[in-house]
Amino acid sequence: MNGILRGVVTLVVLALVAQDVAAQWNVERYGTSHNQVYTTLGLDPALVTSVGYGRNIKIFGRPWQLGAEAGVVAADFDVQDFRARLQARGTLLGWRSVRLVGSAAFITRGTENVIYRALNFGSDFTGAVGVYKPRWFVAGEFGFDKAIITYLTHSDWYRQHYYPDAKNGWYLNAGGTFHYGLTGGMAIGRTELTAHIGQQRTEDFNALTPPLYGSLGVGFGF
Amino acid sequence: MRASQGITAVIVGLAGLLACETLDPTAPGNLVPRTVAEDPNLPAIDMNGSRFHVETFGNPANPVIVFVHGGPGSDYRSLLRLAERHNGYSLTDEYFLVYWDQRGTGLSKRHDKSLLTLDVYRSDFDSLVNRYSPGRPVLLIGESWGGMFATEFINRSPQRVAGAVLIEPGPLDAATAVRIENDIFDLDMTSEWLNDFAWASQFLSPDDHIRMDYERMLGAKNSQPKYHENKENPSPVWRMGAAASRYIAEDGQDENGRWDYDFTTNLAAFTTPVLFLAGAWSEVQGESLQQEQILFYPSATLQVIDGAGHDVAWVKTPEVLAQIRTYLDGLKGAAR
Repeated sequence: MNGILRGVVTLVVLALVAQDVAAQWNVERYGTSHNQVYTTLGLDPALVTSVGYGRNIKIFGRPWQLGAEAGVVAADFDVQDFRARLQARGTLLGWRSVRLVGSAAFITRGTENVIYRALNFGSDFTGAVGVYKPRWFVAGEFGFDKAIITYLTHSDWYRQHYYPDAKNGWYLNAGGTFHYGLTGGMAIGRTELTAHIGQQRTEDFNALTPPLYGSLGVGFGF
Repeated sequence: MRASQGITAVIVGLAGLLACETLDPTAPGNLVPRTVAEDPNLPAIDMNGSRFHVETFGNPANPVIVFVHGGPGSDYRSLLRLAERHNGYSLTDEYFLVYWDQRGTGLSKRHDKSLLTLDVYRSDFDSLVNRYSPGRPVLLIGESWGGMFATEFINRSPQRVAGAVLIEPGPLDAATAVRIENDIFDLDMTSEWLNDFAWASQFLSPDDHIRMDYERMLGAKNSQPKYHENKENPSPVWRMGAAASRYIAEDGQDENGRWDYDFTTNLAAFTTPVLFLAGAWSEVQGESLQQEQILFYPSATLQVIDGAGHDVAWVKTPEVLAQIRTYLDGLKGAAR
């Protein structure tokens, strides 16, 4: 747990000292800079730390952010357990300060554990409805992360001691996760802090371990 | 490369993948072995409205030993070494051995929650004993949860049991369960096994029995460090029966999730000697716990075997078998 505390403290310190840049996941701030870099730490669904880059552009006169993000499981900094996302995010509908924000992501992720190694391609579609002001926002979010196709390679340990006939190969439609909760953020000086917290369920709405997700992030714009 | 070209390349790549032969994670045999409901070649019996994976060894005319495996949710595969010959002796020389995967576990047929209750499990146990040892008491060898389940049977039907060997039985009543429950699994959120478990939920969702069972295998190696089991040569299972594990455990709890079972209420009626065995390395269900639990029985002794943890029957099979043989010989002597 000391590692987690150190990570959180590091994020907060970074946010407070980085006064020269402006970062935003707040769609209301997309128009104020061209580029963002950010980092997050959270339980999503394992303890994961990520870094990302976003490029703000205008499509049909509306600001959108296109970006890429890479993360690894923070426990023992396990680089075998990774996730990379290419994503787009922007306002779909708006009325005064209320926004319907949508995001779509193409995801590649990998894992290696005691029984298998896996490489997965998937997608995530998330919508959020909330109040977006230039210095803060708060919204409810609902999304679906689909593991579209996954290549599984069973470990020698699993084959030797448990099931020698386990089949390696491309597994189609092996999983999916609904996630829903709250997200919010605030600007401190020219820096933005964000947080997500919510619950996750399987695509058949069964319980998952852990049942909750949550993350903290800090971003910088330039 | 322009963005549109990159997106096109990804789509073409994905289409190529989809054109490959793909596997169904819910199909029997891909991730975990087929059960007796899916493979007619497996040894099985139909009993009590279900189909069970059962093997027997030895002469049916001999006294019957029923092996009661651990879990709930594990299976009898790790106990098969006790049927082998060690140091010139096999239990099959004198006894008829009955190995049985409990309902919803191992290679037995899967069931949903409504048929995975302690009452149904009790009924299965009664049916098995009536089938293989009608009219004469049986000997029981139970490991971990199997030691609890065997005790539950003895508590209900002491007259049906001729003797029992309990290998590191789990907590025999709720008070003991409450005391040790936090030591059973390593739930440190920074532990690698727990993060692997959580991370894996993005790849395979536990939305059907097969994927649930497969997911449970993620904890097979490192989730219980205080049990000090052999990781290089682990005691094997055919599959982890996730539904059985969850629902049988839940049936031992009240509506608030607090343990409320007690398998010891009538053990005073069982005056036959009982042998407890423990691995010397085992911290949770080892010597200290069993020193307490032998007191639930009017006549019980504990033998501790060096060089093993909770998987003592797998790791130190000759030593365990020697203890069982001595115990069973003692019962025969007492009967004479």
